[in-house]
This record gives sequence, C-alpha cells and structure tokens, in this order.
Amino acid sequence: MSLIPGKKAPAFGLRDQNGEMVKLSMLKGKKALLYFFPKADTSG
Amino acid sequence: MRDAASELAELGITPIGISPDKREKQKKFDDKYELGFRFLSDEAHAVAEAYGVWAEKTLAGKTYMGIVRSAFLVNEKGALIDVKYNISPDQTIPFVRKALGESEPPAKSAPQKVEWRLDLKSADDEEKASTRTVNQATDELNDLFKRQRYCVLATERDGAPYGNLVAFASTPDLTELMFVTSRDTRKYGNIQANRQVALVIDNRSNEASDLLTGLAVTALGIAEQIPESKREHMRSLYLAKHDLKPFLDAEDTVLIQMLVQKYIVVSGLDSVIELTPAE
Repeated sequence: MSLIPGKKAPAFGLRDQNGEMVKLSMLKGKKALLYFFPKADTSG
Repeated sequence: MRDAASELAELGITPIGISPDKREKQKKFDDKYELGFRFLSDEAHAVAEAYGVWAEKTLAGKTYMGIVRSAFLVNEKGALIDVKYNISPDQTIPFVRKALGESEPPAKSAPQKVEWRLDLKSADDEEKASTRTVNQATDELNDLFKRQRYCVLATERDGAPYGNLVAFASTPDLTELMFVTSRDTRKYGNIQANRQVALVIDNRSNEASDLLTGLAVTALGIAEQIPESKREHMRSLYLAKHDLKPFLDAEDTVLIQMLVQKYIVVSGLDSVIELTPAE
C-alpha cells in the first residue's frame, strides 16, 4: 500500500545507531526526510 | 549521500535513514562514511511495511522481500509533503527541492564556448606545426576521447604515486573529464588526500608503429565530486559512453570530475603541444 502526499506520515519509534529512541513525534517542528534504503553498504 | 546531508541541512531538513540493518551495522556504516545522518534500525521491517516500501524484489531470477529505496518528505506537523517510491540515490536532492518548490541552483558551467590556447613545444617540424591549429587539436582530442573507453588515472598520497585504469568520459568542450569510483578504493582515498591528478589517454595498439604514429594525451587537473546542479548532465554524458548504470547508481559509487588545467598532447616521437584554457 502506497502513501500519498497530504496524509499523515505513519508514526514510528525506532532506535538510532547510538541506541537513542527516535519517534516521528519528536521530529515535529522541523521538516524531515525519511529515507528508506536496502541494507547498508550494498548496491541494492 | 554524504553531500546530501549538508544540502538537506541548508534546506532546514532533518535527514533520517531507515534500513533493516542491525544497529551495530549502521553504527559501522556511519563511522565509516561520517555521513552525519541519523540511522534508524528497522530490523522487523514494521515501519517499512507501514510506509509501503517492503516489497517483493527480484535479483538474478530469485524473488525475495526487501526495501524499495524510497523518500518521504515530512512537514513540521508530521504530514507528508511529497513521496517518492523507487528513488535512486542521486534523485534525492532534486526530489526534495522539487517538493519544496525550490528551483535547482543554476548550473555553474552552462554550455558555453571555451577557448583553448595552444603552445608548441617542439618547433623542429615547423611545417606541420604551422598548420596545426587549436581547432585541429581539440578535434583530435575529442576524436580520441570518443574512441577510447579507458585511460590511466594517476593519483598521489604522502609522496607515493599510484596509477590505475578507469572508464572515462569527457565534456564536448573538453573542460572536464570524468570517471566513476567506489569510495572504498585506493584511488578515492588518494584523491581525498590530494585533488591534483593526471589522466593519460592514448591510442596505442601495441605495435612497433605506435612510437611513430601514436597519440598520447596527458591531462592535468583537479578532481572533485560533481556539484548536485551539474550531476544529471554529467551523468547522462557518462552513461552515453559507458553502459555502467548499475555501478553508477550504487550507494557507494561516486562520479568524479576532473577540471582540466592543461592537456599535453604527444603525437609520434617528438611532436608535443600543450593546450590550456584561455583566460
């Protein structure tokens, strides 16, 4: 199922590379680019 | 992606990279490339599924589930400004600019006529020399650059020279040469240490006659990553010559341009001319 502009971005809570929890709600107040990519260090 | 981080910062955007890698893997990736990105580990790919980027992919005839490289620009209130599924790494910044209604910064070098100045280094063959014009010389170079696919790249680090073969391409006005490299190569490391590089492009056929009829061009110049505004243009020039799109699109691959400061053109045994961009 694809998302479309104008809709709310689905909420999430994930840990970053330093173990800190990052939630979408914490990013509010600033624009953010969510960039999904296949496994790091591969060409995929 | 490295350049992207600073460009995004300028646009006031927090970049967040999300992949199914373990945290430790992302940490290593981050340490290695110093991207300045925040990486989130989505091992269970639940977030990927919520965003619709977890999909069946095919590689070498096998199907598996994986991430479709995608970008989501989120506004200050958590709503999606724009969405792009199946994005290539170098489309990311143009996607963001377009979504924000920002125009691309003007290309630094719009196609304009570049003058070259010719210096004769061997005047012993005066008849030949007098008929040799700048235009003939640039035509000769363009012809050679079109025919040859590979050339030797010379780099240096800590006083140690290094040479290797690269697949190169040129701009029609000859002001830039370009080649691709992975970041984890010796040549890339050398270029980071010293941007002054040389390329040797020649037409040798490995016959004895090469000594008399061969043409060898040494290009001296500065290697650098291609500015975002020029990247599409340079990419298309490069891909028009080399069928290397998968390599060029790889995460770790960079297209490097060399701004040419001087061409030293040696034809036959002793005819040497130099071409420099005229002021």
